[in-house]
Amino acid sequence: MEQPIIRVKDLSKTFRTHKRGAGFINSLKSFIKRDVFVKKAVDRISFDIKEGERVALIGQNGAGKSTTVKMLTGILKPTNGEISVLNLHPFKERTKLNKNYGVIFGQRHNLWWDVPAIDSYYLFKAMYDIRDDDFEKRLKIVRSSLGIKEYLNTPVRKLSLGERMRCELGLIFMHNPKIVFLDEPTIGVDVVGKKKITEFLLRINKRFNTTILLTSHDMKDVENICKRAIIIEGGKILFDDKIGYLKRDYIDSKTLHLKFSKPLDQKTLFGKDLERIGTSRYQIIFDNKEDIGRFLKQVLDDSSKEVLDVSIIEEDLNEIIRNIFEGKRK
Amino acid sequence: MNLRVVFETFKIALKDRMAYRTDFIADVLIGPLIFLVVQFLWTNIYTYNNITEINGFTLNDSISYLAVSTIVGYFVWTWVTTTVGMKIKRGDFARYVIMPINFLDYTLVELFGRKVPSMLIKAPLLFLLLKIFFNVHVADLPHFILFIGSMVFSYLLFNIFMFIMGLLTFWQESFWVFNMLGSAIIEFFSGWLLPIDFYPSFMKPIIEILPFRHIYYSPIMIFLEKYSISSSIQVLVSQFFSVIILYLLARLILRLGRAKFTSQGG
Repeated sequence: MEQPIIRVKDLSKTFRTHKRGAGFINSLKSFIKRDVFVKKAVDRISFDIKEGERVALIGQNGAGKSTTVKMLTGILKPTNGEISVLNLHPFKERTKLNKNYGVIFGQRHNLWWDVPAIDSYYLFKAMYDIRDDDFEKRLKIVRSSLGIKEYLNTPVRKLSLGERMRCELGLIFMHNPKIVFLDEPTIGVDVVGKKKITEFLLRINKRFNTTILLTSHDMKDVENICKRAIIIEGGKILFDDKIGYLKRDYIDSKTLHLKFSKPLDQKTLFGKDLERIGTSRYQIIFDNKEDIGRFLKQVLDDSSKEVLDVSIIEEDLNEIIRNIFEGKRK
Repeated sequence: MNLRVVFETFKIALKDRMAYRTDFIADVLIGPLIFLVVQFLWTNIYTYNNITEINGFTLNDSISYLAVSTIVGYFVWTWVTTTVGMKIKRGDFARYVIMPINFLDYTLVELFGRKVPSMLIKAPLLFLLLKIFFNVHVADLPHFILFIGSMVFSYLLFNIFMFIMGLLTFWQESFWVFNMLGSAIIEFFSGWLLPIDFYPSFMKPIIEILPFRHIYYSPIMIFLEKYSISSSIQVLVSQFFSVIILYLLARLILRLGRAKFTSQGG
């Protein structure tokens, strides 16, 4: 059986923060006596990730996603619990581990700001001890896949956010990492850029079996890139399974849109309420357990009505996730 | 860090520094101002009191001391405390943790790369001006070579010490305080403006124990040929051991501090 390359068991991280009141008097008070409060950012989470998996960490701001990624990359020291990445402890064995992974934090940059991006690529080549032929080979791949050929020789500060992010992404693949941690990699990137990034990640995953752990607020990205989702809320895991199951388990209604050749003079159809949304267009809401197929067959077989168009609308992932966070679902 | 990484880091830092020409020119012009002010002071002290020597230093010695101190300042001085402090406070330190490098080594090489324009253009230019206008003393070749070697250690001592001051941001976020504290310690104990020979005698044992005199006083004294060749070599050996001790201390504090890192800001 395939062994997981990331193992997390009962992992927790707490931060001690000083409370500071507003206004001058409160500032003075906190200067003399500080109120300390402990914030649990990650609370006893457990999961395993196998090689080649594409997993999304989903959660609201402050849910604990970035803290989890920072513990997995050795940036933060876990407060409690077990953690292992490629059989190494990320914090204690940082230098052994970090040649094997690549990280992008959408809010920060790895590229040197005032020099062309290609200079940072050469610096990485030295740091990660990349052989000349491997470097050239991978440079060719990232240049064409990410469409960054013309950006590499421009000072990074002159690139747009999307162009810079593509250059950043190319950089972290130069040493052929086994795992990539991508924290909001498409933040502020336009649709064309996002498409390039998605295609590139899928290509790298397929070709090199690179494991991808993605955190993003963009559910379209999550759906396009990942197969599995881990939903974190308040530092705890709410869901950990295939994204398809998320839809199966959390969608409780579907909407059927029907367009007829002429308006209907009835309020119900085969026992279901009709809601008019156009001249001869209607919508019917179905519970998840109801059989839309059987209903549709009855409608199509009814010779008194001519159906011109049919569409079934499912809640999208954004909607599902929002409902989960708002506590509207189980 | 292997030599290829050192070379590439140095190269990129140098290129990065050269990106802003106005900064660079402003830096060249601001440097000599303190020199001019203190030089006026020295000239007045010597001429008003009608004295030729104070603690073995003639007026020309004192002005030369100050001139070489300005040159040493160009070589050693960096914003390391605030750079490190800011990276820790704003969370950018994370960027260095995820790379297969040591933050201390990388910072020292990066800052050195940024220093090169000062070293190769500003320092010789200023020294030439000082020689023409103030007849500053110039070392003979053996002393000059030893002076260069001594300055490499000065650079390391200054920057490792100020790096440690920056690391204190792991425990207390006000890195400006540490910058001021570190600068004050160096300015006071290193003989930055004044030769240590001018300090009260009760302070000399303290200054002898601390490594800071090796940042300004020792290389300047080598350049002014106040030390013989063998004494200068002894100074270099002492500088070397001070660097090793401070380096190990910095590594230890970095290790302890990393566990305190909170990685703020996303």
